[in-house]
Amino acid sequence: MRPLTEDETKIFFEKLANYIGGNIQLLIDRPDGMYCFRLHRDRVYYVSEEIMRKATSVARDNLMSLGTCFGKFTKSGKFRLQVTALEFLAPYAKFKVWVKPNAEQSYLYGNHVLKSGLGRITEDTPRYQGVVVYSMNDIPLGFGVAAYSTQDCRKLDPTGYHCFPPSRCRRVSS
Amino acid sequence: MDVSGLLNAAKAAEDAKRRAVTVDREQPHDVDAGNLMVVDTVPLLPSELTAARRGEYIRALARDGVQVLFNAIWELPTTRADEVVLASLPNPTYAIPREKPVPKPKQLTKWEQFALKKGIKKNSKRDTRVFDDTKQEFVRRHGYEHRKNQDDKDWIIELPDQADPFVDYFAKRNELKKGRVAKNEMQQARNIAKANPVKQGLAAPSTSNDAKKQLLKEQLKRTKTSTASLGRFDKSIGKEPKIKTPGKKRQYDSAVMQAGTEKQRSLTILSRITGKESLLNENKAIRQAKPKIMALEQGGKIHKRRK
Repeated sequence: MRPLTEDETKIFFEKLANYIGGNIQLLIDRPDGMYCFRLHRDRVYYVSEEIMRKATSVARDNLMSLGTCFGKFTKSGKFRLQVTALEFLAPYAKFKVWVKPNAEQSYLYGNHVLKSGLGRITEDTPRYQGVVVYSMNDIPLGFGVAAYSTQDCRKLDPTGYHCFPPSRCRRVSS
Repeated sequence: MDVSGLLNAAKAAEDAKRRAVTVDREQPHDVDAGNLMVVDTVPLLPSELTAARRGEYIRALARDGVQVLFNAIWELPTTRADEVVLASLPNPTYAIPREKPVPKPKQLTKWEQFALKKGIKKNSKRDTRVFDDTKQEFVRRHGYEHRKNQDDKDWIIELPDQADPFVDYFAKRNELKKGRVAKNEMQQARNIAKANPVKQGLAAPSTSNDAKKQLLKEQLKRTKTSTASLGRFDKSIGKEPKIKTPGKKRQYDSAVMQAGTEKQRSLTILSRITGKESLLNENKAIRQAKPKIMALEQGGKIHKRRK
């Protein structure tokens, strides 16, 4: 377990900024205590300072996880977001997509969100913007990337893709 | 109040003032005004060095010392320059050791060594200038303008006995002079080289066997890893041990950092990332501007400024 280096932090923040923009600041600078990001076995964990201090007494080999996993660094140094980060990113998401109940399961199984399944969308979403996908009763389901901007998707036929889910970023409903 | 009372009060005030600037001690301080230094030779009282009283005790001692120094300075002869009182300090009595190491003695040249051995002394009384009879003025004995003087003087060379008369003896003299200058330069270089021994690249060769072995090992390691593949594809001989080249160790921050530093660092990185983003949402701007433009076009009247 160690803090992120400057390069890692940059890559990580750039990915987060895709979804929540400058709101990352609200994750770092929290009024209810000190929270930090820690790297452990290539995974980035968002953890309170108190728990992190306690975790330092656990040997690296024995430490399985701490706090909430936000995702992992690939061997080639890219960052991949994990669905566990949804809880923290969803409230700060700048752009959201709501899917209709009948398209929900399809999305959760890893398919794209089609125009027909699209319930609502945040105004002025640019193309290829990272979005958080919600069900119609406002439960965050996962992350996605907008295939078209809000303006363009109005002209789209019902079978056109609207939202690509990045792999492994779906929450599996139980 | 009567007169004696007033006088007593004045005396008491005077005494108090004097007490503030005098230091009464059985063993006086050692004052060296030249160095602006006071030495207190009285040993510290162990009873006063408890944690509770130590600070006050030492402060009182320091105050006494400084007071004594200032008293000593005020007793010195003073001058006044531009409204500033200057005390002329006496010569220092304490010899303070020098900060830097003593300079090494200069290496003697070969001639100086020889002269020392033979007891040859430089004749310091010999003048640098000598009177030239033909020129009727003083000229240098050596160096600048000396050579020219010599030329003027020796404008004729007597042929040596049974020598070849067709040889240019002036050129020969110049040649000889050049040779002497070259020799002198060589000797100078030798003296300089002797005074500044060149350090060896790796380590100064040592006479001890262990050191030689170590040096050889180090050199071998360097030469073996000095190929394009860092020696990976070189043939090895027999039971040669594999040479390890330790890589650079990665260094990371410790898991627990000082409170706030990590947050600050993250925020600065964040500001660098989000600073690039433009505050303007282009789509939104177009959407908001569109109805106005449409209305303007439909109204058909766009007011132009008259010239």
